[in-house]
Amino acid sequence: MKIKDGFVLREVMGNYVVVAVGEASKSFRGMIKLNATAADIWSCILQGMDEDGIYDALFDKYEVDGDVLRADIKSTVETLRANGLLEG
Amino acid sequence: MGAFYIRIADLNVRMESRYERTLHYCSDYIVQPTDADIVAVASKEEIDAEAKLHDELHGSEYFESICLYRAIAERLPLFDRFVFHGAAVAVNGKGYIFTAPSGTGKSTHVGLWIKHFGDIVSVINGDKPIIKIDDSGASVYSSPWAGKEGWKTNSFADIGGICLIRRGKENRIKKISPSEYFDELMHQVYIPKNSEAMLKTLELVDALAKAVPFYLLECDISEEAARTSFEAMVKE
Repeated sequence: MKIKDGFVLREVMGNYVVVAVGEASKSFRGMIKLNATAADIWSCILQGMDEDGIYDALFDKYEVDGDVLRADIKSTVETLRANGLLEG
Repeated sequence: MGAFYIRIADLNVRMESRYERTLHYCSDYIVQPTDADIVAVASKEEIDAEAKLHDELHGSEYFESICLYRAIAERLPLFDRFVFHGAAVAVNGKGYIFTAPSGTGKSTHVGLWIKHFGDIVSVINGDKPIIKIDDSGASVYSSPWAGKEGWKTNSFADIGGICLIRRGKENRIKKISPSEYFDELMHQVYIPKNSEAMLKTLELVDALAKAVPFYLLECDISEEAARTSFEAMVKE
């Protein structure tokens, strides 16, 4: 699982947005907003983590129920995939 | 028509236009030929493509005008500046920008400021001013492109506030955190196609949000509407 080439995350006015640069910007214009958790998950994927790795990385940071966090990670990854931002 | 030079937002721009009209609307901004920071040029194809997007009855010179400003707007972020859709006015050396989707009443509201406080209000640019970010903060500059009213004065000012306008039955204003109005504000920012300029624009907008106060005004078209925003933004 990796972020598709040409998609980058930026923090703008307290919001997290994904935009396309270079070649990718020819087929994708606009911005996808992420919430803070999704932005963290994005950073983890960028570092090469799989869902289990993301869980381990974020469990200490977020004081939430493990099942809730797993479900969050799963749905965020699905959303990113559905938006064409992931490959592999 | 050949090329001529204008100075906008402290940058020199070489204008390559086919039409005499361009020289007219740029007249207050013209400078002697100089080294250009930006070259504004529009191809025949771009102008034709722009014309196809509009149903309105305009001549090619109108569509060239749109293309030329876009050419400039594409480059501005590389100089820490960007085009913002709004009506900018100056009061006592400070700039105030009203912004909203087209048709909400920016011009109407600025018209109310002029009507009621006209002796101290001047319009910097009524439609598409340029915002510059630097170490000292954020400032707003005029440009030759000023919408259908053509309200513009070749001037600039440090930004004292940016105000989102909504139509309302009551007149009220409040300070807002721009993060909560992200979508509305970003829609008023020119986002370049060029990736480097686009990413730079995001940085500049982020810096702007930290540099100046933002307001949300709900208003009608009464004198009270003008007093509501004026007292909150200028007298603070």
